[in-house]
Formats: sequence, C-alpha cells, structure tokens
Amino acid sequence: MSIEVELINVSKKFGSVIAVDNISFKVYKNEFFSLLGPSGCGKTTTLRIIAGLEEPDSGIIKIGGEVVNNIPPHKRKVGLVFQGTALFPHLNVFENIAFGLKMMKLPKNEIKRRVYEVLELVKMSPEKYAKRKVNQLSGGEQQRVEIARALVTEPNVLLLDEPLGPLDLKIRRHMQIELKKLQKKIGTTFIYVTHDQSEALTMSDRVAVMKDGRILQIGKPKEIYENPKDVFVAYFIGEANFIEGKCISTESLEVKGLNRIKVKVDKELVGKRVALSIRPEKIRIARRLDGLDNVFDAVIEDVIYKGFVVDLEVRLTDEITLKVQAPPTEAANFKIREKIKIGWNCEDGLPFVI
Amino acid sequence: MSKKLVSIIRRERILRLILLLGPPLIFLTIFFLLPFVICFLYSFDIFGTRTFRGWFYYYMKVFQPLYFKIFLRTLGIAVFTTFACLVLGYPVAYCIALKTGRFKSLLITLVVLPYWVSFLLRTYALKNILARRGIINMLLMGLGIISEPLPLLYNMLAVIIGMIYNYLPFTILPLYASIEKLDKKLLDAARVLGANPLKTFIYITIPLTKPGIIAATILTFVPALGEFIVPALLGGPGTYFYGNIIWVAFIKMRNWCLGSAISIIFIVVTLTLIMLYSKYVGEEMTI
Amino acid sequence: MKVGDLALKVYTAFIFMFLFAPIIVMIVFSFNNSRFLGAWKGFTLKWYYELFRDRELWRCLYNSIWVASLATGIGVVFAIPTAYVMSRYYFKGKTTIDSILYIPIVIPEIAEGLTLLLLYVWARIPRGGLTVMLGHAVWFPVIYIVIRARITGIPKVYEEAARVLGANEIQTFFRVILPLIAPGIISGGLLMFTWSFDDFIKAYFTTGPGFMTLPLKVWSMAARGGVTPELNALTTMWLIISSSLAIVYLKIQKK
Repeated sequence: MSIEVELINVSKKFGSVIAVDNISFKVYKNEFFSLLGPSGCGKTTTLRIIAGLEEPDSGIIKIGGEVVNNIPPHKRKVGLVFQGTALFPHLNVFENIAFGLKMMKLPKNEIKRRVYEVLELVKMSPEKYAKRKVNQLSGGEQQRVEIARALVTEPNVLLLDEPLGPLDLKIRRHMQIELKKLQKKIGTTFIYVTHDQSEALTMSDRVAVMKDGRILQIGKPKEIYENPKDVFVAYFIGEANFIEGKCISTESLEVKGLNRIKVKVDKELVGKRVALSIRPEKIRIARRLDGLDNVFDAVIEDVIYKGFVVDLEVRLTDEITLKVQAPPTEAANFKIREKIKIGWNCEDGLPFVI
Repeated sequence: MSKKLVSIIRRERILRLILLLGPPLIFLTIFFLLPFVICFLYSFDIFGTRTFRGWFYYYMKVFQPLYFKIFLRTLGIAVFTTFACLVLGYPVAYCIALKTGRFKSLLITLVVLPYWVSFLLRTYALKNILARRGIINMLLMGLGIISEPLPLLYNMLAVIIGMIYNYLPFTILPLYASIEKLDKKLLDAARVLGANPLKTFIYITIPLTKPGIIAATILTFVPALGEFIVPALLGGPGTYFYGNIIWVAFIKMRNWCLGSAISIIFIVVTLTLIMLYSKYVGEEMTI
Repeated sequence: MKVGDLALKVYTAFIFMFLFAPIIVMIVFSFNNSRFLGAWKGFTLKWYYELFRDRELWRCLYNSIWVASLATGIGVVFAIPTAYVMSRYYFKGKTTIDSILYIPIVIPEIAEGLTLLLLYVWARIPRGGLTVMLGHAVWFPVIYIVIRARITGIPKVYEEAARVLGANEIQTFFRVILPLIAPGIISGGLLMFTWSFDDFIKAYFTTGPGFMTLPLKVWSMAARGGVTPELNALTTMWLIISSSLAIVYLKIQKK
C-alpha cells in the first residue's frame, strides 16, 4: 500500500508547553486513520501541522511522497473539517462550498456541477439547500455542508477535527456510519481526530492512541483493544480493571489481601510492581465456578441491568473492586450483597509495569 | 376601597417620578432643547433684530455660491479624510488585533490615548512639526534636501494632515473592535481551501468586518463635517470649513439669523446621518 | 508570510510614531533654551517658570477647575436619580426620554455651543463663567449612562431583601444602591470632569468677556501667533493634567 501522509520526528512547543513530542507515523492511501486521545494530548495540533496551519519546531511532513514543510496551507491539497462550525456566515451554502473551487479559478458551470454533485454525495438536495443561509441550518446539516466544502476540491487527504462533537447522540451515531460509508465510497484518505474511543474503534481502519504529545500505540482497532501495549492504552480503550501487585515469578503476582494471582508474564517483569489489566467481559461470574486459572470469592456491590448486558461491580478485598460484564442469561438474577464467585484465565490478564 | 388605594399609590408613584426625573429633564429642556428651538426660530428671522426680510431670506443666503462652495469644500475634505483614515487605519487595526498577541490591549489603549487629549492641544502640537522652522523643515534643510523651508502650514495640505492626524484614532478603534471579534477559524478555513493571504483578506476579512468599517466611517465622517479647530489653527480663510463659517457668522458678524440658518442646515444633515446609521445598525442586528 | 507580517508591523510602528511625534516634540521643545524650534540650545525650565509667575494663567486654571467641578457636581446630582428611575421604573414615553438623553453626547459640540449662545443672546443673559458651566452641565448623560449600566447590573434581590428587612425605598437607595454604584459615580464623574476641563468649542461660544478657561487661553495664544515655547510649556502642563485624569480613570476601570 502506498503512503499518503507521513510524519517523521515532528515536534511542536507552545511557549513552555510541549504539544507534540517527536511523533512519527504513516497513513496509507484510502485509509480511515484516527488520532485518538484525551484533550490536550496534541492530536489537534498534529492535524493543524499536517494542514500547514502550524509550523513544527522540527520534523518532516510528507504528503503524497513530497516534503511539504515549506508549502503554505493554501497550496497543500488537503481538506479540513473543523471542530465547531467554520462555515462563512456571510456566504450561503452554495457559495461556501464553491469557495475552494473559486480559489482554483474553475469556470462557473464546472463549479456549479461539482457543488451540486457533492451536495448529493452528502445527501442534501441542491434545490433545497443551495441558496440557504448558513445560520438557518441545523447542526447536522452544517456539519454535512462542511464536509461537502472540504471534499469538493477533491483533496487526496481529508482531515477531520472532532467533527461530530456538538451533535446529539443519535445523530452522531448516524453520522459515524455515514462518514464511514462515504470514505469507502470515494476512497479519499481520512485522518480523523477524536477523544471518543468507541467512535475511533467503530470507524477506523487503524488507530493511533496519543497522550501528552506522544503516540503510545498504532494498530487496527482489534489489536489496540485486545493487545494494549501501554497501561494508558489499556485504560483509555474500552473498560478495564486494574489490579496492582508485585510480580514474584513468571507465573504469579502477589496482591495485598488476596492469594497469589496466576499470571503469564515475561521474565523481565519479575520483581517489579505491575498493574494487571482485565477486561470486564473477560471475567466470568457465577455461584459456582471452576475450570479457570483464577477463581476468587467476591461480594456483589452493584447490579446495572442494561437490557443486552448486565454490568456488575464486585468487591474482592477492602481495596479491590472489579467491574464485570455478563450476559443477562447468566447474571440477571444476581442481587446486591450476594456472595459470588468470579474468575478469569491467565491470558486475559495483561501486565503493565508501573 | 381597593380602587382608591390603587389610585393613591399611582399618584404617589407619579409624584415620585416627577420629583426624581423632573429637575434633570427640565434642565435639559432649558439648556439643550430650548436652544435648538430658538436657533430654529432665529433662522426664519422670527426675532429679527433688524427689519424683517422674509421667512427664507437667510436660507437663500446660505445657498449662495460663496457659502455653497465652502459647503462643498467641507464635504470633500470630510470624505477624503474618512477615506484616508480608513485606508491608513485598517492595517493598523488589523495588525494590533491579529498580530500582536498579548500586547494587543496595551497597544490599542496607546492608539486611543491621543483621543483623550483635546483636539486643540493635538492640533497645536502639529504646528511644531509643520512650521517654517519646525522639525520637518529643519530636518530636510539639515540633510541638504531643500534650501528653503517648505510652506507646510496655513494651507490645504496642513489642514488635510491635521484632519487625518486627529481623526485616525477615531477610525482605528471601531475597526479594531470588529476585526478582534472575527472567528479566527474562518481565516484558517479559507487558507486550507486554497485562499492565499491576500484573497483571504479580500473575500473573508473585509466582508466580515463590514460593520466595523461602517461604524468607523460614521464616527469619522460626521464629526469631520463639523470640524472647526483644524482649519482655524492650521489653515487660513482660504480653507475655511462649514464650522468656521458658523463661527464667523456668530462671533465675528454677530449675525444671529444667518448663523442660525447655516447651523440648522448643518444640524439637520448631521442628525439625518446619525439616524440612518442607527437604522442600519438596527437592521444588521436583526439579520 | 513572515515578510508580510514584518511589513505590517513596521507600518504600524510608523503610524504610532506619527501619532505621538508631534506631542513628544512639543514637550521636548518646551524645555528648549531657545525661542525658535529647529535647534536645541540646552535644557531650561525658564518657560515653565514664566508660566508659574503668570497670574492670569493661574486664574484660567482656577476657572477651568471650578467650572469642571461645579458642572460635574450638578451632573452627578442629575444623573443619579435619572439612572435610578430609568433602570427600575416603567412608564409611557420612556424610550423617547432615553433617546433624548443620548443626543447631547452624539451631537457635534459646535451645534450645542452655538445654540446655547443663541439662548443666552435671546434671553439677554450676560455671558461668563456661569454660562460656560451650565453649558457643560448639559453633558450629564455621560454619568447617567455609566450609572445606569451599573444599576442594571445590581440584582433586584438586594433591594427586595432590604425591603423585607424593613427598609423603605429611600433607605434602600442610600444603603444598598448608592454604595454599589459608587465606582460608577466616580468613573462617570471623572469622564465628565475631564471633558469639561478639556473643552474648547462649547466654552468658546458660551463664554463672556474676560472669562477664560485653560483651553480658551491656549486658543487665544495659539490663534495670535505661531509656535512659541511658552505655549509649548502651557500645553505640556495641560497635557500632564489631562493624562493624569485619564490614567486615574483607567485605573478605576480595572477595578
């Protein structure tokens, strides 16, 4: 697969604050790539550097194989959808979308054709919307016009900065699916910035998890979820339980208040303090339990029935409570303060040095 | 019973209103509104101290070529000053609003500071620069560029420089306010869509700061029409403005009727412009 | 776009110099030991010394101060009840009165000055310090606007709490509202005082023989001759007084 965007050792400081700390990654053609992380992790800054709106202190940015460091934003052929609306209030829908084409000095009829085409693409009928004023549109409609405006110039890369942020939940879910379908249809490379991990996992081909200006891990959603390489990634993606303890051998973890926990770790970790991460859905819960590597007694503290799944909070020791997820067929009858057994297998416990 | 109580309370309320609002309003009426009425009446020669010459006698005099020429001159210079201040001032407002980071409040305060100081003071200060033995001439002669001092005072050039000098802060402030409020995201969006800085400026910045430009125009043009100090100090009888004619009629000639006629025209024009502007602002708000 | 930015900043710096240069030159030359501009002949305070010895000048300064003080005093007395009524009461014709209150501020001074002169002429009122002061007092809406904004910012609950605790309207006003609008009174009063102190046009039209304020004195000296070091010194003093008032005002605003 050919590379569309590449960052090599890019760094950026604002005053004394390090926004982007020596990051490098590749984005392939036609890929839906997400930058995921909490606010302040540098993902928006990275996007702006790719667009040319910020100059990096060091590092190389390549788009389509060419180094673009010295190319100003109006000459890089990228599209950018902003966080919050950036539609021009003094222009109507048609003029907004046509703006980029006007800058390219295309003839009038060509502009009209392409604007109408892209409006159809985002499922807004031109007859109805072309002459509308921007402030008369709903949030979802504004977002679609922004996407249309960014796409009409047919850039090779579309950058999106939390575009679905201000939308209602249902509309968000709907737009996520629409965007994914759109990307597959037109084939443009998407670089998508978000703090919502379920959004990133749903839509992306690959995800880069960022924190404090660094990239912690890049991979397909399944990899990131099942094989987090960093304690923060394990914590940020999906739900996770963490049990801290001291690793005594490659097979056992000493935890205060419990018997030894059986684990499977590399020998480098022996002797170190470790946080063991276990996904709630990987913990079995039942009145009688055997056949698992680790089985413990626990007391149920909370039961939340969600219809398709039951979320439970169980207390193992004075200091340790775990979140457990179980299908209603197994867990629907559990009650608070009930004594219960929980367990998991070694390979479901992921160790991280702390 | 309750009806009587209500009317007592009402009467008391009205009494209080009159007591509190009365004196200030009466004062304004006597010393602000009444003078305008008197001026109006004088312009029609109602209190004529001389023989009555007809209702519109003095108005007809105002439209004589002599006065009309001065009116056109005032209009022309006011328009030119406004235009020059806009062109000279916009880049300054733009620079302070967008390019100076955390110094922008300090810098805009510095620009506005001269506005605090009386026109008279600033116009006089300008004389130091423009006089025959003033800084500019001394500098140019010292550098050997000219051998005789340039006549930089008491002519139209001095008046125009003086007008621009005094009115520039009036223009810069509303422009600054408007540019400062721009959503910077919009400028970024234009750049990513392919607009170079010049095109961004023409297609996005200027249209979106239109309210500020209009405000700056009014705030400069209307006072400039009534300017009096600058032509008096820096110009001469050949550069007299409308305001100076009013001064001549009142102070020099003591011709109250003529002066009033000239003034009424001026007041009507000024109030019309101010009203048109308020209507424009009102409409812009509803859009 | 670094070059463009640099050019913009250089241009802005030039305009700043243009705006401040005449004033700086004027100040500098007020210390010049020479009658003429153009050559620096040493530092001296003799022009200022002349100023301090000029009795008439002191009288002008005194006139400026008492006119401004009295006008501001009257202004405050008028502005407070006006602001109170306009922000707390509703009645017919309120919007008309509101508009009328704004006009003295937007109308060109020359129109105000000349019409006032006509009033005095018609009513055969002899002109002098009093007529000037009354003309300045017309500008009280400036204080009114500042105070009204402040009163509107006071939540009604304060007054209601005071009423419930037994205070009648007058007491409520003096104990609750007045202290809270005090900064507004001071800053509004400062604005008006400064305007009156600096005013030339209106004073020029409404003054009578023999009565001069500082600006009028400056005008009479400036209109007579060209640039003189005495006038430079006088205007520098005027500038210092005016700027000090402005700085005090800004400091109060920050609070």
